[in-house]
Amino acid sequence: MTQKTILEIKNLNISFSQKDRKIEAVKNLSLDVQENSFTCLVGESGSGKTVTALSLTRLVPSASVTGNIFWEFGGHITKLFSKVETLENNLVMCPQNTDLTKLSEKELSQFRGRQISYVFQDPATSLNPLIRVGDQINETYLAHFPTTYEEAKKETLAHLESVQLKDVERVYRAYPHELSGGMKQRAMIAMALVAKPKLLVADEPTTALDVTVEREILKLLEELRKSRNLTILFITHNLRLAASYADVIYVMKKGEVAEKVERGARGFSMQSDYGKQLFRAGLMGVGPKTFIEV
Amino acid sequence: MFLEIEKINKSFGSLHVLKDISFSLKKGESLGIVGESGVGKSTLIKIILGLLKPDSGKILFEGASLSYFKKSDWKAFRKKAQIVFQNPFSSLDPRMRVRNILEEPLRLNGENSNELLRKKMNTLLKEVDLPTDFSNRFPRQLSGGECQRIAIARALSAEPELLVCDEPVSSLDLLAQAHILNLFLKLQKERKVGFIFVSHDLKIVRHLCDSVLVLQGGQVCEIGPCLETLERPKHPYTRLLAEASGL
Repeated sequence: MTQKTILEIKNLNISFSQKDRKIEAVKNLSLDVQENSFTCLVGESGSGKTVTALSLTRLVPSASVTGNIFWEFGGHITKLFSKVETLENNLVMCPQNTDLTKLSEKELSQFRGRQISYVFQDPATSLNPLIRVGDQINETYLAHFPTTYEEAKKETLAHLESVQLKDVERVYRAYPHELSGGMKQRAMIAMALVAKPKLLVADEPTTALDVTVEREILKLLEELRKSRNLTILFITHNLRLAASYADVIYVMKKGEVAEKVERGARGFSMQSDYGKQLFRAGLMGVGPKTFIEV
Repeated sequence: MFLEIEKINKSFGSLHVLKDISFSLKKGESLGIVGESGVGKSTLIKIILGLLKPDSGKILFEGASLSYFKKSDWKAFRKKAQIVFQNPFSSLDPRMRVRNILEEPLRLNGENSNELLRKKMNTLLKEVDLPTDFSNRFPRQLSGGECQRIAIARALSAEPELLVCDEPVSSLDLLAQAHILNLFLKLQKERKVGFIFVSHDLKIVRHLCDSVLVLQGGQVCEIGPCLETLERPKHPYTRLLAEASGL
């Protein structure tokens, strides 16, 4: 299968400066994401997974970022700040090989949601508790496609349905507290997808959920990837979860990529000591009642 | 029999949480309790520890019923049955140093000499693989895994025969989890501590427990030896959970 790279990160360094010292969160990180792949970023807490993902679209303002983030895919982005009446005039082509680190804040906000979109860990805190779920999704849609309210509602309902929520009219009118954790996370996915992005970054989207719900959400992501030709960058500390869904796993340790493994015929086989250690910690290949070598 | 639970029922208002729960545990044996959130796992362990009274049913600890316990019986029972909670940050007092957290239960159990206290505390810290100079730290200066080890050390200070753990590793990172699991195994093998292990991760239950109890809708839907039950589940719900945990 010949695949196309849609995102390429080259020599990314992310650091935070405090009064007298500099904290390097990510050091010399390079990775690429293939079109339509399920790419996983795995590592312990504090290994720099999240800050890498957020820095793709400069969502951590206090960080100083060097290196390049090439958006190879191109595709359409939205003219957010121009006054346009029709949808067609509203679309601009994003040149291939755009370096996201060189874009202005204004250009980036056209990019966020439209090409790269996010789903975060805790669905309860990422939704606004005071606004109905439907309206929150409408808002996202209207920001990217200046159409009528009715049009946006139609689109929102269609997206709520596509994330396999039942009784979408009720969910549309519901406030976040009226939904369960799994339903909220589905609504978040619908919101992330409403502007039809190419890449969905899912940052520990199931950590706050029960195991059975976790499985359902992952199945949903897997189906959406096929039906929408979506690319997924999945961030987790659970290597076991990554191993059952990913095509490629990047193992991160202390801000660096310790290993890149692709799915082989017999799943993943880690080469580095750290990768093997993580595998054992996930109780893979460890017999019951035996000590784990970590 | 070490611990016997017979036909426990518990309701909160009109909500019937636990229905006719029965099981038993031999000394030094470990039992895993699994089920979805809200199924009554935590209520069940509160009842086992005598922190909540059941509406009906019996709990026998070493043959004696908890409902006839006198004050002195409770004192002895509390020493023998200890608990470790899910969130290590909220189960440790943020204003106490590790030293005080560990010394307090030792003192309550009748240890007065300062020198012996220090010695016992150092052994406890060593047992949970922490350096002894951690005794001066506050919980906020420790990582989640380290905090959980302190919570375990505190539980061990009473030299319990039964350790009840309510999702002790679910808020921890994979590597920290592995260290805690190793620690539990060591306690099982060396100290012969019995465990009641509440979790929604069947993989961890399979790793640590001898038998497993699956709760669904407040009822026991399957109970049996761990490996057998999880590899060949009879009940469809157990199968669903086993699949979800990637077994």
